[in-house]
Amino acid sequence: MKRWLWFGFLVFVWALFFVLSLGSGYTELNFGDIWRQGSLTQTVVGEVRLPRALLATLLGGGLALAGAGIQGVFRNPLADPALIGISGGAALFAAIYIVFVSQMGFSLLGLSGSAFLGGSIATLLVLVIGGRQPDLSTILLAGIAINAICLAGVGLMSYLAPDQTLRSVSFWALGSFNHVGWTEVAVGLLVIPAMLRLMSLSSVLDVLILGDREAAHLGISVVPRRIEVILWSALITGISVSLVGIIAFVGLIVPHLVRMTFSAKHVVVLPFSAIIGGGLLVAADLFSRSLLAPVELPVGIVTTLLGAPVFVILVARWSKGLWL
Amino acid sequence: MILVLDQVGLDINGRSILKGVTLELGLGQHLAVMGPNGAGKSTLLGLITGDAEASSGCLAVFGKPPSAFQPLERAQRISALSQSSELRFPFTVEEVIGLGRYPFQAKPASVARIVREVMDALQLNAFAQRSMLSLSGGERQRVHLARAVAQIWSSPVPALLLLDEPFAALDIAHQVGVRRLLAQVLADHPVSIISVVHDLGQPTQGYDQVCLLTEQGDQLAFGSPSAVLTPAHLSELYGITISEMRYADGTPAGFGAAPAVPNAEPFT
Repeated sequence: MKRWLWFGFLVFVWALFFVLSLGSGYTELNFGDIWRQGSLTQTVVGEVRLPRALLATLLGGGLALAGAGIQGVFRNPLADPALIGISGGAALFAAIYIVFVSQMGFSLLGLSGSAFLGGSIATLLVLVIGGRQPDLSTILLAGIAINAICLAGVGLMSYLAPDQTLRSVSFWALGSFNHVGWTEVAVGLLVIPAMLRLMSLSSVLDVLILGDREAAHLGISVVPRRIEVILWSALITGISVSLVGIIAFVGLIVPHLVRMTFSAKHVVVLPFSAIIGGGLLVAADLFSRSLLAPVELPVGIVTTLLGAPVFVILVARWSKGLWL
Repeated sequence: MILVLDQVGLDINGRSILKGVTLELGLGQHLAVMGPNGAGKSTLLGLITGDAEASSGCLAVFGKPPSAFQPLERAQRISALSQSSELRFPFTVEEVIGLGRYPFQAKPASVARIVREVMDALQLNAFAQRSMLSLSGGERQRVHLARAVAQIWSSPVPALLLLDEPFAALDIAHQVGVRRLLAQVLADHPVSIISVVHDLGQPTQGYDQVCLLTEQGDQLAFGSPSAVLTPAHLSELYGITISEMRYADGTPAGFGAAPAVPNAEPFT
C-alpha cells in the first residue's frame, strides 16, 4: 500500500533526525570513541543526547496523538492541549506539587501524576464552559481564561517557592529538554500505553466526530468514551508538561498535516501523527540547541514559531468559512 | 409489530412536550410524522432511539423499551438521521457512509461492499472520494442519509429507519430520488421507516400511515393518509386555511394554503 510506504519514509525521516541529534551538539566529539567504555563521546551521547532524543520522540509522538484525541472529543480540528488550557492546568498542578508537596519527598512520578490531575481538571472545565459545539471561538475563549488563570498561578507559585525549588516560570511556559536524563525517559515511557489505548479507540473517535447523538445512534456510550479519551490525552499532556514544560502546537499542526495529506480517519491520523510528532520534536530540539549555540533556546519557542503562523492561517480561513 | 406506542407522553421541567401519542407500525410500512414547527416531532424520534425516556405511557420497539437494548445491539436495529450535524473534519463521503456500519464491527471489505451499494442507490458514486467539507448543504444531507441507510442495509433481522426531515435541503429532483431510494429500501430489506416531513405537496404518496402532532404535542390523528390528511385536519393543525388541490383531471395534487384574498375586508 502506498500509504505504508509513506509511513516507512516518515520513520526514516525520524531516524535521520534522531541520528543527527545524537551526532551534533556543543561538545566536539570523536565518534571513533563511541564504543570505548568511559570515553567522553560515550558519556555525552549515552547520558545526555540519547535520553534527550528518546524523550523528544516519545513526547512529540504523544503530544501529537493527544492533540488528535482532544480534537476528536471536542469535534474541533483546531483544539490543541496547550491552546485550550490542558497544558496550563498541568503546569499549575506541577508547580503546586513542587511548592507544597515535594518538601515531604519529591518524586518525578508524583510530579507527573499531579500534572495529569491538573490537565484533566482543565479539560473538563473547558468542556463544561466551552461546550462541544463545532465553534472555535467558545473553546478558545474558555482556553484563554483557563490558561491565564493557570499561568498566573504558576507565577504565584514561583514567588511562594523557596529558592531553587521551582524551575523558572519560563521553563513551564516554553518547555525545555535541557535537563533530561534517563529518569525522565523512564517516566516518559508511560505515554506509550496511553498512545496504544488511544490508537485502539480510533474507530470510536471517527464516530464521536459525527456528534453526540449520532454516535449514540451508532451504538457508542458517548460519555464514558469521551471521558476516557480526555483522560488518556491529559495523561500524555501531564507527563509531558511535568518533564519538559509546555510544548505548544505539536498537537495542533501534526494531526492537521496528516488529515490534509493522508486521511481524516483516525486509524491513519493516530499512527502517522505519532511518527511525525516524534520526528518533529527531535528536529525542533536539535534546532533549538543549534541555532544560537552554545546558548540553548527553549524548545517551546521553536514549536510555537513553527506552529503559531500555521494556526493564524487556519483561523483566518476558518473565519471566512473555509474550514480546513 | 415493529413499534407500538400507547399513550406516550413526555414532560420536561413540568412542561408537556408530547401527550397521548398512540400508534403502531408494522414491518415494511412507512410512517410520516407531520405537524407545525415545535410540535415535538424530533422529540418523538428521540424517544424511539432511546435519547430520552417517555414520562408516561408505554413504548415498545421490537417488543421492548429502547432502554432495554445494549447500545450496539440497538444500533444494529435502529438507525436515525438527525437534522444536519456539522462536520469540520475532511472525511470523504465514502468514509462517512462507512461509519454507518460501525455497529456491526465488520471487516473493511464487507463495509466497502455495502457502502458501494448504498452509493449506487443514492447516485453518490461520483462523490465517493470527495471531502465532506467541499460539499453543499444538500449534498451533505444526502451523505448522512446514505450513512443512516447503510446502517440498516441488508439487515438479517427487522430494522427501523428514523429520518428527521430527509427532504429538507434537497431540490425536487433529489427529493424524488430519495423517495425512490426509500421505496427500494422498503421493498428489498426487512425495514420500517418513520419520516418527519413537512411537505404537503404529495403527502399521500409513499406513506402507509400518517401521524399528526399539534403545536402542543398532542396527537391529532393517526391512520392511513387518505383518512388522516384532510383539509379540516390540516387547517386545524397549522391554524391557517388549507385546501386540497386537484389536477384538471381530478387526481389529487396535495394540499396548499388558501391564497390570500386581495382586497379583503379591512380590520376594524
